[in-house]
Amino acid sequence: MRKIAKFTALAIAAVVLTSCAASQPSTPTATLSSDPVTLRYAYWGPNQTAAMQKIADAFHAKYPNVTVNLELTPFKQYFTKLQNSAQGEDLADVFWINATNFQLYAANGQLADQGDVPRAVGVSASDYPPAAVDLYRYNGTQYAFPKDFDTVGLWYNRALFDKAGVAYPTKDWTWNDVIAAAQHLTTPDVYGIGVKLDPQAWIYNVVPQGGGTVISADQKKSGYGSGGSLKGLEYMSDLVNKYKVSPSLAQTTETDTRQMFGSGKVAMIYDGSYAAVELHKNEYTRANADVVQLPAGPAGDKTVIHGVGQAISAKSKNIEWAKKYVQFLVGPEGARIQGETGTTLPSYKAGQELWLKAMPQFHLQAFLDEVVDAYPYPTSKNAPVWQAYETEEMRRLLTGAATPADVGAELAKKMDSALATEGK
Amino acid sequence: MNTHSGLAAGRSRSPRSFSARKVMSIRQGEIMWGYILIAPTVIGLGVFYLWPVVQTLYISMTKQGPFGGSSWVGISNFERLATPEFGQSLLNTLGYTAIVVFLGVPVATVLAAMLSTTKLRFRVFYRAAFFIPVITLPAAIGVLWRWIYNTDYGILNQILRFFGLNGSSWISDPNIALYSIAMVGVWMTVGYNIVIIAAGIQEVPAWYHEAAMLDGAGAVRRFFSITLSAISPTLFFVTVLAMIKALQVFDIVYLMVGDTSPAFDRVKPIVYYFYQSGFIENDKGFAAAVAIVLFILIASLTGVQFWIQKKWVQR
Amino acid sequence: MGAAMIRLRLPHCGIHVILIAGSAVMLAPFAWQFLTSVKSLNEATQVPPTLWPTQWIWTNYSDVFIHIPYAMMYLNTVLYAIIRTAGQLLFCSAAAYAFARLRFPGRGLIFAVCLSALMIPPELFILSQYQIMKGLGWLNTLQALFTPTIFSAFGTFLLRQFFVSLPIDVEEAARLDGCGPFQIYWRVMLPLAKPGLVALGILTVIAAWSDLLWPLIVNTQPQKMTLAVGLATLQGEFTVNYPVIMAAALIATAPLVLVFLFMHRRVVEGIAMSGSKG
Repeated sequence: MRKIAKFTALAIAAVVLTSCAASQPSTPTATLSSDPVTLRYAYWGPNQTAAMQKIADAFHAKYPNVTVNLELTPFKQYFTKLQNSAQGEDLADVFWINATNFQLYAANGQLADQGDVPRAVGVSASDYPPAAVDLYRYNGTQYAFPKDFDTVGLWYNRALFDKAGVAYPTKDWTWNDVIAAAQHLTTPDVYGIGVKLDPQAWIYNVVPQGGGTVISADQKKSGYGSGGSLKGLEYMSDLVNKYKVSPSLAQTTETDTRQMFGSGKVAMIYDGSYAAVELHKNEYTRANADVVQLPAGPAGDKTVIHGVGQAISAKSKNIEWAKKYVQFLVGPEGARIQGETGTTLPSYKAGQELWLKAMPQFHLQAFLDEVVDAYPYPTSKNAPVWQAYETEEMRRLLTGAATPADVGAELAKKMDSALATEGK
Repeated sequence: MNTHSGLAAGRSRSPRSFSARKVMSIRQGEIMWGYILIAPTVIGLGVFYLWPVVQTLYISMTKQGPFGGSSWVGISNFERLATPEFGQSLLNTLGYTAIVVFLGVPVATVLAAMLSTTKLRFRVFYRAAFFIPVITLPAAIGVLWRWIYNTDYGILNQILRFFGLNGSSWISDPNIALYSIAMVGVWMTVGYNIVIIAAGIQEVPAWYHEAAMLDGAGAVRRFFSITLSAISPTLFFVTVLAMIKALQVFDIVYLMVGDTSPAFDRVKPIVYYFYQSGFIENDKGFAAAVAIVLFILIASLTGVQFWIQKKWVQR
Repeated sequence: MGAAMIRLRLPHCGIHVILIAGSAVMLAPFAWQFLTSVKSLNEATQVPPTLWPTQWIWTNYSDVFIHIPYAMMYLNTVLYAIIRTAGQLLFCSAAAYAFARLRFPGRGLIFAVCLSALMIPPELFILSQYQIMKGLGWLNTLQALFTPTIFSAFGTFLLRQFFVSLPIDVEEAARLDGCGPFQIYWRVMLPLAKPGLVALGILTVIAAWSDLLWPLIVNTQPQKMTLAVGLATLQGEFTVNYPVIMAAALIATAPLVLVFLFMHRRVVEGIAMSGSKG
C-alpha cells in the first residue's frame, strides 16, 4: 500500500514538474528532411486497422513526403516476429509494444529515446495519465509513449439483473456485493460472473485490491506470497470453486468470458475499456450492457492501468520523422481519430471526451474516474518468463487443484528465482 | 558438340554420332552428372536445413542474449531439461504419436482394403471424402475442431445431449484432451495414408488371392494372411512418415489449446515447449537444446523402425 | 497395369455402411463449418446451438475482404505455390534420379545425410533461414518466401522411390542409343515419372498453401502475406468471430478442393504410386 502511495506521489510530482517545462514554447526540430520517406508501422490489433490507417493518411496529408505503411501481425505471433526482426535488424520504424515486453527492448538498446513527448507535441504532460506514461520510461528515459490507455471496469447485463430482481452495481460495491449478486443471478442457464485467467482483467486488479502487490517497486521481488495478494487470489478462486457462480476454467478458456457475456450467458464480467468497442458492435450488449467502476476489495479501490506503447527502433533510418509520427499519433490529431471512431480510449485528454461520446449507451466515464486508483501494470526486465509461471499457477488455482496459499507461495518462489536471473 | 539438337533427337540418334563424347568414358560421365544433378538439392538442403542444425547444436551450448550476444555454458542447457515439465511434454508427444500411428495407420489400412473391393460403387466419392481434410489448411482445421469440441457451443456435445448423454470438455479436460487432439490428427491424415495403402493393395498379384480362395480362405482371413504381408513395405513407408510428422506436432495443438487451458500441461508437445522457451521466454539456448533432443528422438525412433522392419516387412 | 484388385467376399452393403459412416465423419465438420459461416455471431454462439441458420448472413463472406487484403493474399499464395512447386519438381527430380540410378562415390552417404533433413523440426531452422534472407536483403520479397522451400528432402526421397521402381530396360535401351545421363533423365525418365511428379506437385501446393510460420516471419507487410497468415490474422486477440473466420477458411480452402476434384484421378494415382515401392 505504502509503496503505491509513494509511487503515486512521485508520479504526481513528475507531472507537475514536466507540465511546468511544457509551458515553455517548444522549438521546432530542424533535422526533418523533405525527401520522400516511408515509415513502417507494426501493430497487432485488427480492430484498430481502420483508425490506424486514418491516422497514417492524415499524417501524409500534413506531410506529403512521408508515407506510413501499416504492418499487421496477429497478437499471438507479434512478439515472436518482433524479436526475429530485432535480431535481423529489421524492426519497423515505429511499432506497438506492451508493458510486458517493453523493458526487454529498452534495456537492450533496441529503442530510440523519445525525449519529452508532451512538450514536443506542444501540450501539457498532465494531459496524459501519468501511470500509463511511466510504464514506458526505463532508467528515467522515455523509450516509448502510450497512444491510448485502458483501465478495467465491471460490465453488467441489465436485462439479467432485472430478471433476477437484483439492483444494478454501483461504484460503491465491494467484493461481497459481487458475491451476493452473483449468487442471486446464477441459474441453470446463467452464471452470475465470468472469472477469467487473465492478468489484466482479473489478477492485477484483485491482488492490489486485496492489499498485495504483484511485484515489488524495484522489480526484484514477487509480491504473491503476501497476505494481501492471497486475499485477491482467494476471491477469484472462491467465485469459481466455492460459490460456483462462474463458469469453470475449462469453459472460459474455450469461450472467452466476453463472448459469453455477449450472448447473455454470464451477467457480469471484469473487462477493460478496450472491450467497449466490441460490446458496442454487438446489438444485444449495446442494448443491455453497462459498466461501472470495479468493486473495492479489503484494501479499497484499485485498477490496473495499461496502454499500448508507441516505440521507435533505435536503428531506424528516419528517427526524426518517426518521432514526429509518434507525436502526431499521441497528440490531439491522433487522439481525435481514435476517440471519434470509438476504437480505443486515447491517452490524450481532449480525445477522451470523443471516445465517451462515440458510445453513449455505456457509462464509460467509469474508466476515466478509475485513473486515480491506477495500479501500474506490473512488469520487469524479462516479464514474459514469470508471466508464464503466473499462468501456470493460476491454472491450478482456478481449477481448484491448489489452495490460494499454495499457489501464492509456489508462484512467489518461481518468480523470485526468475527475477534473480533477469538481465544476467 | 551440338547439345541442343542432341537433346531434341536424343533417342533416335545412332550411337556413332556420339563418338566424340566417348572420349570421356561413360562411367566418368555418370559420376559427373551424378554430382551435377544432386548439386542444387544437396547445396540447398545443406545451407537451409543442415547447417542450421549445426548452428543449433552450437547455440544449445550457449546462453543467448535476447538480441544477440552469447556466452558458452557447455551442457548446462541439457541438464536443465531434467524437469517433470519436460518429461510431461515428452510423454504428451509420444502419446499423440502413438495414437496417430497405431490407430491411424490400421484404420487407414482397413478403409483402404474396403476401398479396393472390386466393382465397388461410389469409390471416387469415398476416396475424395477421405482426402478432403488432407488438403485443408491446418490453421482452418484447428479453428474448426476447436469450434466443434467447444463445451458450451460445440456441435459434438449438442449431438451427445440429443442422445441423452453428458458431453465433456473435450479439449480442456486434462484427462481426455490429448485423445481429442490425436483424433483430429488421425482425421486429418487418414486420407493420405489410405491413398498410399490402397495403391499397395492394388499391386498385390491377383493369383495370390485366387490361390487362397481355392483353399477356401474367406475375405477377412485373406486380408490378414495375404494382403497385410504383401503390402508391408508400403505400411512401413506410411508408418515412418506418419511417425516423423506426429513427433513434430505443433500447429493443431497451438491452435486448439491455449496456455490458460486446464489441459495445457497434459497436451503441450515438445515443439510447443521449444516455441515457448525460445520465442516467448527468450531463452534461445535452452530452446535449441530442446530442439536437439527432439531431433535425436526422431532420428533414433526412425532408426528403431528401420531395425524392426526386418522382422515384419516382406521384401 | 497387371495388378488386380482383391475380391473381398464381404457383402458390399456392409462395406458401404462403414464407408458412408466414415465419409460422414470426414465431411460433417465441413458442413458444420459452412453452416456456421452463414450465421450471425449471436446465433453461432447461442445455447443450445441452432443447426440450420435462421437467417443466412452471406455478408460474412464479403466481411472477410474488408478485414484483410484477402484478394492480394490469394495472388501471393498462388505465386508462392507455383514457384515453390516448379522449383521442387525440377531440383528434387534431378537429385532423385541421380540417387536412384547413377553410381557415383559417396552416393549412399550423401543420400542418408539429405534424408536426415526430413527429421528436422521446422522450428529449428527458421531462425537461420531468416538470417540468411536478411543477409541477402530479401526480406519482404517473393524470393524469400520460396527460396528455402524449393529444396526438399521429402520430395527427393519420394521421387527417388519412384525412379527406383521404374523398369531399368527403357534406360538401358536409351543408353545403348548413346544417350548421356542427363538426356536419359530429361528425355526418358522424367516423362515416365509424370505420376510421381504430379503427386509431389500436389503435395507441394498443399504445403505451400498451408505454410504459416515461414511466410509470417519473413514477410511483414500485409500486401505480401499468404492466405494462411491472413487466416491467422483474423483470429482476434480475445474473442473469436467464428462465422467470419469459418467463411475465410472456406474461401481459403475452396480452390484446393476444386483443383483436387478436377484432377482427382491423377492426384490419387500419383500419391499412390509414390509410396508403393519400398
